[in-house]
Amino acid sequence: MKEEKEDSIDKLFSRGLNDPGENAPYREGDWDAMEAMLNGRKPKGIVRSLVLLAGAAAAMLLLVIGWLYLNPAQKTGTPPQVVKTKPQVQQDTGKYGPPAQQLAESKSNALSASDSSAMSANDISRKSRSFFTLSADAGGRNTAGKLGINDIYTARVIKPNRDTTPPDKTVSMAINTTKTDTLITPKTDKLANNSMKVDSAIAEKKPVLASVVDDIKPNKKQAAPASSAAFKPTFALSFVASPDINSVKGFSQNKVGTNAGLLLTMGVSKKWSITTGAIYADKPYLTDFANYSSAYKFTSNPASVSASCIVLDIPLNIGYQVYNKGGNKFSLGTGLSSYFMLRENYTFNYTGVYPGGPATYNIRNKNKHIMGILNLNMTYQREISSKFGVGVQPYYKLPLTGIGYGQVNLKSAGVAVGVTWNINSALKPK
Amino acid sequence: MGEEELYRLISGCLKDDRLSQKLLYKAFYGFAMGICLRYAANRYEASEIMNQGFYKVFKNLNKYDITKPFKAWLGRIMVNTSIDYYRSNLKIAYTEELDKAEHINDTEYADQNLNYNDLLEMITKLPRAYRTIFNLFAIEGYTHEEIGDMLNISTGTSKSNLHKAREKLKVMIAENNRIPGTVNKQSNDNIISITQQSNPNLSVSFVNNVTKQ
Repeated sequence: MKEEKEDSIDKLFSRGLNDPGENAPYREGDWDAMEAMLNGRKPKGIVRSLVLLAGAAAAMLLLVIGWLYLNPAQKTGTPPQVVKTKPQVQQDTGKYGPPAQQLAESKSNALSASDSSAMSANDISRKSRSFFTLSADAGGRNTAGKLGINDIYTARVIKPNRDTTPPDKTVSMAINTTKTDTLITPKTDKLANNSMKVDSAIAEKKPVLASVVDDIKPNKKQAAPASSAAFKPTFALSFVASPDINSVKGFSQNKVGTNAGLLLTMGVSKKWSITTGAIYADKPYLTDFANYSSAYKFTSNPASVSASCIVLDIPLNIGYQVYNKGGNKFSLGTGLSSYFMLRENYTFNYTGVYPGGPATYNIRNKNKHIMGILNLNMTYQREISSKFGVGVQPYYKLPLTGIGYGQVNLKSAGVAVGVTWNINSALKPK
Repeated sequence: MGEEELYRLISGCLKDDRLSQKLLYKAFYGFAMGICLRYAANRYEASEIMNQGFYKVFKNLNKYDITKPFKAWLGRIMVNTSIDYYRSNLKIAYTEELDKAEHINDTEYADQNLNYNDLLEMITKLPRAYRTIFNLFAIEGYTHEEIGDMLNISTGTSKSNLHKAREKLKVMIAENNRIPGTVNKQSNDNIISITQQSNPNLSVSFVNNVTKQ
């Protein structure tokens, strides 16, 4: 009897689902995918390959934009050292006038104040190699009035005209701009909020501003309070190790370094996460002496410098999950790293037989670059169980400031592999 | 499609003729999709599996024995591709506990008047492991031993999963009978029109019958 009954439910489905009839109509899009597959692509999943493609494209875009904005062609004498932060702020405010003066100016002339802040933002981001100059500029902006939506547009709009038009003669500026700029009181939280929103909205176009905003504490607090209130944060601990390629100019002269460390990831929403931790890294590199700057005057310049640096890398990254299905997760991340140079050993290579300068130079614990390195990464993670996962992460580290004693533009690219332990997870596994 | 036409298309496909490939694809699209939809979680996944299956068909067409029915050969490839897909997305899939099944009246299920979409929706709602085993046993007609080999599980697991799949389907059918035309609908909210013209100051509240009781 029981057998019969079960047989009958089987029959119901067997008959009912035997022929889809009109329920599975032909779709041309499916054939297009089929044709692409037949044209020599591997028979990968359409969805998966699309995600991979989109991920790769996004990472490339970030990379290119980051490069354009953060790696200016000319190297100037701007001191990139950490200790120079304060003088930089003073210099800024000195140059463009104290807030009160700006206020007065903006009252008399709509453009002068906004233009000067636009100038400062633009000029500094263009000329300087140091992130600290950038963050000092952001601080300067805080005292001189928050940049609002309109200011950002102003900065962009005015740029081409700046050379031909003296700043204090142009009057045709929107009234909104003046208002935003003249509200200097620290209570302008709303405006700060606005500026934050706009900054993140145009983050793709202006990564410099985005990273600056990221670094300003009050703004950062406003970044994700709503989502974290609704979402129980999750924590995961990862051990990562990676080989990477270090290079100063292009990737022609490169050396392979090693990294190992612990990372803590906090999921602040379903898609967004924040990662920090500590990575102990050995970064050897070789560069032409031209890329190396030193206070010491060599009697005859060395041809090249080989360096071996032991670095403690403290990253602070945000990640966005673009794909999560069947235990496979794919996410894109960016953020800033602080380098603490634990040991720097430089060897100077001379071409002549009788070298006229020192052969080596060793430093310990002297240089640090707080939030001086931009991180870009993609992460693929595979769940082994509900608690453990393994991951692969191609990454790229782009300096915003000169690294080490030689203030070199030390880039690193590598692939990290790691294991992750989910301390608590928001969603119960199926 | 006549046999002659089919052979013409197959011989075209063997020469890698793109038009023949497209015509063959189009001719068996519905049949193949019907199989894949049963195994997949959604339509996108189904077309992904189906295309992988057709790729195998086109690449291995020289192995097709022309004396045997083409449809059966194609169908077997689609089922195998679905199983490959299932294996590659295998999670810890056998852990799901059986829901507390309410008592279900003995019904003659074969007489149920359920259309294709209702049945497909039910089968799609099953967990992937149950769905795969139910498909292989009930629709494709494989034995538990064969299924065990295919999915690399024991015969016992196959049997118990089939049983759980049937139980779940029975619950779904029972629910469907209670509210005809809807497989799964739970709505207790009263909907109040907010476009009242007579009294503009009317305050709008949403009353939930369940909580009010």
